[in-house]
Amino acid sequence: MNRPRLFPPRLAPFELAWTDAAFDAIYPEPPGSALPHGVLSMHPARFFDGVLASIPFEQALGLRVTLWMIALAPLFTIRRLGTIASIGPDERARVLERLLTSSNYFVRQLAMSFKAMATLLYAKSDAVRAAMSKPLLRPLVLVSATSLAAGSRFGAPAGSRSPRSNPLAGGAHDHAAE
Amino acid sequence: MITPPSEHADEHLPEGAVVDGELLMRSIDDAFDVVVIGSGAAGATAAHALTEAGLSVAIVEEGPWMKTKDVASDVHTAFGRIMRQSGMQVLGGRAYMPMLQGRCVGGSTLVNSAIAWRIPEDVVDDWTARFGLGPSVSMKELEPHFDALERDLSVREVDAAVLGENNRLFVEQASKHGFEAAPMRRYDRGCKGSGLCLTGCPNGAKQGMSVTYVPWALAHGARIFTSCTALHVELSGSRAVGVRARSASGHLVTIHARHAVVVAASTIQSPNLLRRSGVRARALGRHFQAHPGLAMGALFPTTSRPIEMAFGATQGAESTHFRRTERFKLETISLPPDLAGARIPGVGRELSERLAQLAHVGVWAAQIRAEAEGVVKTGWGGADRVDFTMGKRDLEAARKACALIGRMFFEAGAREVWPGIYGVPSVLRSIDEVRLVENAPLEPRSYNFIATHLFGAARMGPDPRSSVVDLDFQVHGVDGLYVVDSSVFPTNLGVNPQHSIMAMSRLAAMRLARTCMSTRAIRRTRREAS
Repeated sequence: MNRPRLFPPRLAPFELAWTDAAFDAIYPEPPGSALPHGVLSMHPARFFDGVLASIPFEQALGLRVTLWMIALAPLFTIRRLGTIASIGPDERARVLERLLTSSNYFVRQLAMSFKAMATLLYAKSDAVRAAMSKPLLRPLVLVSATSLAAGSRFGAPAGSRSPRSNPLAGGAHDHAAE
Repeated sequence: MITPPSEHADEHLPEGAVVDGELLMRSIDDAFDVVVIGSGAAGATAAHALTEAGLSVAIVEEGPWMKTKDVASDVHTAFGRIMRQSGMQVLGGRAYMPMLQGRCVGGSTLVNSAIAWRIPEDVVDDWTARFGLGPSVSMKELEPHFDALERDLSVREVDAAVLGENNRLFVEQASKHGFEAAPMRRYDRGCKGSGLCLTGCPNGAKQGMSVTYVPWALAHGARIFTSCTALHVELSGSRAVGVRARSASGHLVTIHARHAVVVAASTIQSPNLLRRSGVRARALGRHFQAHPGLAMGALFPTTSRPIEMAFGATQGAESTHFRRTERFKLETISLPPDLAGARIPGVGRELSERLAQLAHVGVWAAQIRAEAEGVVKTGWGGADRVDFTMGKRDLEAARKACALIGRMFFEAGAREVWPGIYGVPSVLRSIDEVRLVENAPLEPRSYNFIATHLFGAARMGPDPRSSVVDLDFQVHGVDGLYVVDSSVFPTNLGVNPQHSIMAMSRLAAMRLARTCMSTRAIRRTRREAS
């Protein structure tokens, strides 16, 4: 049985705010989402804090580091002085996109683990599950994110073709490994 | 279709047969003929065979008993309770690889897809030729055990009524590509196609160990100590005499073994348990192998027939066509939204729009028969550590499998394919783009592998210098200490291993039972004479 631990300590109020903002970037509220509601109404900070308290120390530490990485990422990804909680929803999504497609293996793996955490919570919602399971009767046009334009410094790994030179490269998530 | 039982086998257990380590209020000191460590595929099978032979058996299980009525369908709750490290365990090496291991009564059989594959003959031939296992471990020796397991656990092909579109489409596309694919054979007594194998069957239809061999062994007089972690095997000179464990409530559990201790704690835990017990074999922890798996998703037009992964056998179709030539096996897998979401490209609106079409998403996968070998060791604070890095040939196999799956998806009508390979766009929109997958980097960090089938690290063989257990599954130089899980396998198989693990364990247990019974008869004769 996984028991709550005393160390590392529970999330501080500012970390809780970062958590809410980061989860919201992944699963925003409508109209920024095609699903019935966003993840914010599911108290992501409380959930994440609970997860960190119940999983093994090493994994908890890894997720905590991930939270800090995401929180401070605006400075390194979109050159904005501030944390994930102090920027707008569109910028948050851009930050998360860039982390998930980073050329640094550890950065993208940590970002992916955070996205997995957000999904674990989000899929607990009956309304969301129902919306996901229901077949659609009409085509839904996918939005192509334009935030990852060619020339991003989190672009392709050495040796691979750049998005511009590669006529087959898709628009969003070039060279991603999500 | 078979009707599932109205009452689950894990509901009415003999009084006193289960000692719950979470509720234990005092230390325990008890004695049995045989102590079995682990209640997964290997441990449960051994325990059942030993009790049937008339021996008294104690099972020590680290995790709790998740009863069928308590099974949770959401991944977070289920994994937190029944998976080792809440499902966050990883293999180390050049790239991290998540490694899912059940830590509960039934072990991984509670959370796998119950796929039954007899060990391929070429693997057994290889074991004989390269590792000297024949004739002790041969098809002739194993076949009666496979037969018995298939009878006991109702092995049958996935019923057409619960095959589901994800599986059906795969078989259809394989046939168009000119290679053989078929519905899987599984341990199934009335599958309803709920697609929830990965979090535990809510209907008790999947014939995992927690609803079969464990309760059947308890009905024969065995006792199980759940939520009790085996600390070490107690040795007296060169003989195993018992097991020392600690309950989740913090109490010491000492179980004396009159005849033998059987270790079936899994490929990762068994070698480290042997180490903690003082076993010093050069091969211990070495030659670890796996079947790293890769899953690829695809989005189909909403105007076509929906895939609806939520209905149908979680894993219901497969192809071993490329197993020997290319070293990969293709199979389907239905991912619940909790797991699918993390693998679908994008965040925010883009992700939500793909998720809103989840009923039109299919997922097919490849498991690679990797040649790479890793090392199981003890890490910081006594934690289990595995170093494992896939080699170039393994990655070439993975890349080939991904490209093939991508082609099959597009030919089946997919609008988008999500390869999940770094260095390749995360969204492919036409079959021409599959050539990007064919040229994907041969770098372990570019792929999102997951390790589910684990082998080796306590290899079987006649020579103590290159193996850990002898041809009767007994640890070299330690009387009465046996290892019966897949850590004794000299190599991986290229097919799902549960069936082979159980057959090997049953073979070992039957041999051990014969030895124990003859020892018991000798002791009785001596007592009567004196």
